[in-house]
Amino acid sequence: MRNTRKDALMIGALLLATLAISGCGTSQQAGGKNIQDVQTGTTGLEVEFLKNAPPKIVFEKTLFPVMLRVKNTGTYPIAEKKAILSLGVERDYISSINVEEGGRISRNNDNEAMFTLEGKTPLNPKGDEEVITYTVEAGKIDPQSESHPSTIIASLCYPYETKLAASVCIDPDPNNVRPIRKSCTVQDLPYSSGQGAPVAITKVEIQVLPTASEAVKPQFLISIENKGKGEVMKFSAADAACRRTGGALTYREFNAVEMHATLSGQDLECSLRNEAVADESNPNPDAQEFARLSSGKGVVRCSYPDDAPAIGKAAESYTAPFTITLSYGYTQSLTTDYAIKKR
Amino acid sequence: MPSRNARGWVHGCAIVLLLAAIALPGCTRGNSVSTAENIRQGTEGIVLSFLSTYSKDIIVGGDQKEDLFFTLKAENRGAYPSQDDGNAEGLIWLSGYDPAVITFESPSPDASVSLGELQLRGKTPYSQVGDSSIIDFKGTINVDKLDFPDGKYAPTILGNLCYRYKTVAQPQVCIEKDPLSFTVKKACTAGDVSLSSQGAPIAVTKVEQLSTATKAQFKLTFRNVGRGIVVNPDKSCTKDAMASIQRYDLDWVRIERMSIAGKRLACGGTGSSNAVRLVDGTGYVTCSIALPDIYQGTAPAFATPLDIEVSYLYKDTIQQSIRIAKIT
Repeated sequence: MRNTRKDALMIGALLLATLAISGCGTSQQAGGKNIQDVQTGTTGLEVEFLKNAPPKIVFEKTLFPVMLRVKNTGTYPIAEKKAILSLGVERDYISSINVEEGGRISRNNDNEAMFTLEGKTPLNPKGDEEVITYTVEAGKIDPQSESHPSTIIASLCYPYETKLAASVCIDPDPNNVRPIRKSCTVQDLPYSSGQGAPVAITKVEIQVLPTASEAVKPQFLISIENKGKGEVMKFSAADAACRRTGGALTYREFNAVEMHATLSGQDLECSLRNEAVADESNPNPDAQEFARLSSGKGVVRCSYPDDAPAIGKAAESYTAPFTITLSYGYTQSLTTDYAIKKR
Repeated sequence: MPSRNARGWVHGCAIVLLLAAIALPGCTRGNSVSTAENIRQGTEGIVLSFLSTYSKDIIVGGDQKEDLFFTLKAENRGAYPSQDDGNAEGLIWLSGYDPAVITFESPSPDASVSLGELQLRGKTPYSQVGDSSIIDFKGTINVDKLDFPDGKYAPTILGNLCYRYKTVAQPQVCIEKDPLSFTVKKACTAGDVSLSSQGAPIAVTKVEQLSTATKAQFKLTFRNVGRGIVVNPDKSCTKDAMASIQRYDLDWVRIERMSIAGKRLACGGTGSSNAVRLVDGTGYVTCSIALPDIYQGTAPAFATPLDIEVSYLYKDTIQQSIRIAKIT
């Protein structure tokens, strides 16, 4: 009994001391969990065949399922402009294909499913997923054959955007002529882990160039790279590779990215290629400017425009919000093998 | 005879009281009682600190403007200015933010406030601490300039302080009529005097006496003992002036007064017009006066205060990092 009371007293004393000592520090706000940074990764939509769909062996004139799971593991939500998943089969050995509609999935053709899919968000850091089901009927195989090996190709085409929001240092005195303490120093920004999209901004090099006037001109060299497993194409042609276009898709549609960059909310002038074609019906077409990728990589120079509010040479260094948006279409394919057997 | 239980209670209570007595006094900030003699101590002048802390993301949403507050505390921990000197002269301002994203309404659109408005007098013999003032900077985050969701803007906000300050020191020196005479008993002997600080960021740290038979000569050592930078007092504490300072403008102090018994000493430093250059934070000046100018009487030696007053601009900067996250 006595020991219990003594123990209680000791615990009370320690508790009091702990409370007293902890009260000495400056009070700090309880550190809440920061917003989860979802803008990493180099994937957009990912697709896989579900197990046993299609089965490894199917029989002539029977229906079998082909099911694909599509995940949006990037950050761009597929919404207004839908993604397309099309199934390529050997027409001579398949009698029919039917995509099952429902929910977010609609049918465009027998073998083309159109769908929307949310990307990663701070509240859903894994991204959304959907299972797309086709019902396929096997046709007859050659009379002399017991089995016919075949392949199903799933092609996925989707519009996507890469967005980078960063804080960059604008230092009108990059050579440190002025001996004052600065809030930041200009430095290149390397990005090794992507922005949650298959086309990644891998590096931003910042230069603050002097001008003839009393202003400086920030300039950015932006390196972009296709880090995904598929092909990049123009945003406007995002669905073309998965549709029967009758040969309308040319090499010009590939490796082209639309780009938009801002500094402090001010649009930057980027050295993009204007590919608008004038003809008799439209002698002055709207600009269609793209950044071109060569071997999956490209570099674009963006400059602060001359007609924007000037950044004075004598200004103190400051941190400014810098954004880049890349818009493009993306296409990737996946195959699986199966065999059709005689019944 | 108390029971064993009662003794246990007494012991327990004693432990509690002992621990509380040890722990609780630690919560208060120690302030020693000041006397008239010790106000010219310390290596700080006016000190700035951020009071409000944004320990996590500032979350904004939509395109509505959001308020942003910074609270700074300015304290005069030094001994200048006194009541007779008037108000402190200088400027506090914020920088490091993008004016397109963050705009300020108060205390002024350029996020600055004059020290003259704050009445920051230094320590006095009757006040152990100098004046302090709280300054609220109220700003607005222009959310629409943060272009898209999940954008994160992470500036480092600098709190800049520029102020005009003076260091006053009065070390005792010994004036000898004939420094080379060893036969006469003297009241004092000339020698080096080491000093620590005088309640200002520039300190007179040493007075070396180099007297001859005809003149009293002193070599003084000044040192920047604060955290900031010293700026030529010919400059002014304005944002424009501070933004345009060059390396040559740094590390100058001006000798305002160097006298013995009201008689001015002639000083020749590394600069001109009573200006002394600090190199790596330390500067030297040699001052002298003819012995007949200060020597009246027949005593072989006497001790007297050497009145020293130097002025300078002092610039100090503190920082606070913030992160603004935009969500939908």
